[in-house]
Amino acid sequence: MGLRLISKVVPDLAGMVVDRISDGIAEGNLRVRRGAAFAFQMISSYPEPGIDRDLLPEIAKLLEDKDSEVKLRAVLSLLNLVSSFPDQVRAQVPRMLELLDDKDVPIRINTSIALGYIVEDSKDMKGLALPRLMALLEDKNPAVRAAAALSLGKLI
Amino acid sequence: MFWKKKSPEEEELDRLISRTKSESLQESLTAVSTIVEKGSASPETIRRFFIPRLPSLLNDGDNRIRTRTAFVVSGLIFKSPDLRRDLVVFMFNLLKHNDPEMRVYAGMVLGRLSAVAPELVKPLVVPVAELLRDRDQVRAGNASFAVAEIGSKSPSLLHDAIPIINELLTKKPEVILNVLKLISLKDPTIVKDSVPKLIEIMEKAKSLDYSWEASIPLVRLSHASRELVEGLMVPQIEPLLNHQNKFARAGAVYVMGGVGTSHPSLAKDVLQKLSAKASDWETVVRTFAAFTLARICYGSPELAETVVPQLTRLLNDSSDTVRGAASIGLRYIAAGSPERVKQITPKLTEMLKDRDQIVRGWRLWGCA
Repeated sequence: MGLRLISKVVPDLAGMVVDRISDGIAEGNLRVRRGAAFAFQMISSYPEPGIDRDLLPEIAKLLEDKDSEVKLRAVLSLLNLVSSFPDQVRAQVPRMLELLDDKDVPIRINTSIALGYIVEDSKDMKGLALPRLMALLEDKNPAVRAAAALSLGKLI
Repeated sequence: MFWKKKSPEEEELDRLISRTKSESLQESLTAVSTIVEKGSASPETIRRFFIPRLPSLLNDGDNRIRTRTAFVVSGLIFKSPDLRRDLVVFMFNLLKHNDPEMRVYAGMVLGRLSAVAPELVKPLVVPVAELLRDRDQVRAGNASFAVAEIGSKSPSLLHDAIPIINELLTKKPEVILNVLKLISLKDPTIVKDSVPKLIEIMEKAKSLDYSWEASIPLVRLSHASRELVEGLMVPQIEPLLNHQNKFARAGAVYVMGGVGTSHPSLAKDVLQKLSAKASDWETVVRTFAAFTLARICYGSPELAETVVPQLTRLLNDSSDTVRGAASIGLRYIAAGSPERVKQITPKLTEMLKDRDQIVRGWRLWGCA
């Protein structure tokens, strides 16, 4: 995010940081990713459109993280940002739908609820989310089924 | 007992209801839609043959029958205005259903209905809010989504429920904060009467979670008019900056940061009040101070001048979290006042090699 902004001013620094990000990912460093996810969630609670527009691509990357806490914070951050950046957040819906199959129950619950709020004003995204949420009504966990029903209440 | 031959309409409804529980999603939803369409084409058929069956269908032992019937009721409510008055009571009663799926579904439908037919939902708002008192936390939590949805779609309807919400706020913060967080997303001013109770939660917080959760509606309220913010919020939040509870101080820094960011005309004054927090003896307070100070300065080179020395100092803080937050802060300065980047570049470059993983992690998106 800031990377693109600063890269215009200090291209050498930007290049170094890209290298370090690659290193961080390659290291598979959990604390690194959790720290970033926590900060995203905190700042997304009161986003300023002028300041925080470039948060989205970074949060989207964390949706594919292997750690449940990181993924959960990324989902909740997207929910926080939908009022300020509806189109950019809705672009992440296909990735979020994949999380409905996550083995972790809190991920399935929170993704279901977040999806209801994110897609409710978008006809296209509703069509995409509806069958997946319906399928979740058959989930073996009752709290997941309730979360799916909650979102369906916004859509059907 | 008399046997009465079913009419063709009844028999067709029977077939459709049976098809709603099909394992095929397509077939199930088609059956739901077909019944809903009958509400528009022939509302009397629905009134005579479907509505009387609702109590048993909504309590059917088959989960699919229950949920699909609820979908039909919702569809009829939105597509057949003539039937709304007959059906809204069923949705309200579902809020007390034993099945949590039915409770939360009904809450969302009532919320949506409040946007299109507020006169039908208004009499239900206080009874819905009363459900927040349920001793069963799951039931109360389910009701919290209903109250929040009504408040989000039609904020003025919540007026009569606000006293109940405020009464329960400190008694059941884990339930009520969910309501306030959701409704403040759409209309922050709706929480203005909750400010004293939110502050009380922050003062008594034994973990950052509670203080932070309570501060979220407040930070959203900071987007309200300057009169409201200056007259109502700041006088109550400012004393918290020096509260003995570190979590209350951290939350207050977060909220004041929102005030400074939302109201550029107040930014200089807020910065002065927050500056000392960058030297607070508690790590959590310095952490919050680091990035809130910088966010306030976004786009203002003049204000950035006053904050960069503090943030640069915090890059050497003993706490890894504070160092990470300082790097986040500098990201905002960099984005808003690029000339300053050139001056802090050597330090940022040094941070790329920070010994601590957290600092490197926060920096990935902070000073990067």
